[in-house]
Amino acid sequence: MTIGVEGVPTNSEMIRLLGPQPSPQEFANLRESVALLRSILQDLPTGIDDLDPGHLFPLRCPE
Amino acid sequence: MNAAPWQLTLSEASRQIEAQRLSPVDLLASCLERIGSVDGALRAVASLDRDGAIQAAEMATRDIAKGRYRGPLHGIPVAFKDLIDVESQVTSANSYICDGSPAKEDAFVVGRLRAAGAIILGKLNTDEFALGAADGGQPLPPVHNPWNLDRAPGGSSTGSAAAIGGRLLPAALGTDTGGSIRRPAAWCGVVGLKPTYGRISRRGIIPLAPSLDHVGTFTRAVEDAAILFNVMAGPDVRDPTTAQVPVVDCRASLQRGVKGLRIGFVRHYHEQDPTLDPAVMTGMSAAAAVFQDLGAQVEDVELPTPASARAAFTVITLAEAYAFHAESLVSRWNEYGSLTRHRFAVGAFLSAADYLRALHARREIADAVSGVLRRFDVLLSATAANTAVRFNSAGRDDLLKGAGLTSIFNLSGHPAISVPAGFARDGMPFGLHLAARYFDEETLLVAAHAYEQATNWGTRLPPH
Repeated sequence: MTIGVEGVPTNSEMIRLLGPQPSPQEFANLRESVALLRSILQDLPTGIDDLDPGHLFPLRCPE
Repeated sequence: MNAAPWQLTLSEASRQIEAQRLSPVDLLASCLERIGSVDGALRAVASLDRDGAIQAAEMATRDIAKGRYRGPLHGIPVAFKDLIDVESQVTSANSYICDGSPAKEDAFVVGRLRAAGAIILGKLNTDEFALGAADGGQPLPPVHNPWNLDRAPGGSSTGSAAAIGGRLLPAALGTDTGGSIRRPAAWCGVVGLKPTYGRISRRGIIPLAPSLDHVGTFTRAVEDAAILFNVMAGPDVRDPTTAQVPVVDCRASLQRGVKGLRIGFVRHYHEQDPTLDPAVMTGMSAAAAVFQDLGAQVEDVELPTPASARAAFTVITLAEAYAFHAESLVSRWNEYGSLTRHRFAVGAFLSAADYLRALHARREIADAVSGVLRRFDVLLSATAANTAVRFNSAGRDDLLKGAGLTSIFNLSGHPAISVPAGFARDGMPFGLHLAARYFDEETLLVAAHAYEQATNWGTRLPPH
């Protein structure tokens, strides 16, 4: 997915994903929230070493 | 003077029904009367199947009189968060998105309870699709807390928590993706059980985030939760996430006691929360002392912090929820409530790489919790650092700003329960949170029951 230069989506990207129905104010609100989301993402691991296939599967509690 | 039937817990009513001192018809009539007098203020009920419930209660009364008693749920009214299918009833998810068609069959859990003789009374209010918040864009009005109508009951199982807290009926089911059973249970002064991931089938329940979603119980007593758990737990061939793990009779072992049990006190969870109510901290220290007096060994222990789990929880929830709603968001944007559609839409801007990184973090968190549970039988903390928040105070980005104290056990999948643990200076209840090893609901319920019997915080009646 492509995002805007500030790390938040552009209007055209928002319309592509969500359609034309959200109002300009809703797009503005979403931009704020996505910026907040991207700041949270910095807490997640990155890099090939971290993405060991053993870690990629969704939860299955040991039986 | 005898208590009115609506005041009885599930197990109290059950004992009276078995002894034929109370009939299912009288119990149901009392609950319907209570709903009629109280729910105008609480708004916990989404819809009632009054005729179907009366018919079932009459049949149960006849069967029991003829010696055909089916067990502790026979004749007990139960209601369901309105994400859970009940045959021939509409599942609304409290959203205009749902089309109003009745469900073709019972959800697995409803079928199990019905087969055990429970009276299927109806549906209970919920935050829209379990992620939204009341903003006037939903078919149902917002739910109020029975302890104070100016407070929220906690979400997303709003109606289930308020219904049991308000004594509308003895038992309800809800769903829990990040704490949606345990936090409202704590805020409404009742018991909320989230079993191990894979322990109870979610077939027939509208998902929020399928890898985090659990179905569980709201009751007034731990014994009641054990009765419901016994009936619902076990594999379902039509839900591949359920586990082939034997189910023990959790009610039978409740009196075992906690002597010798190793309990890890996760003190830093609430201590580090900026919203901490001092009464909650005092209550948790008192709870640790109660367990010590009962013979358990209590030691402080550290878990991954809620803040460290926030990124994984937020990304997984939003990505999975968006996947479910992506098409409807484009075609029916204005039919969602404004807060709901905003929250779901944020998930559109996550990438596959974000999701995989979150799964990686999740595995590390689950491994860390399991590691601690090799040394301890049970983990103790507060369910929430504070009491119920003001009515209608939800914000757009609540999910992004904090994951609460409960979501770590959705990420890890361990079983957890909230039990009433006291009242703060504002008069509102708070809860004790216990967690245990995978599929060891037995020890979890033993510990919760021992604490409940020693304290009895759940017996106080709310003003509404």
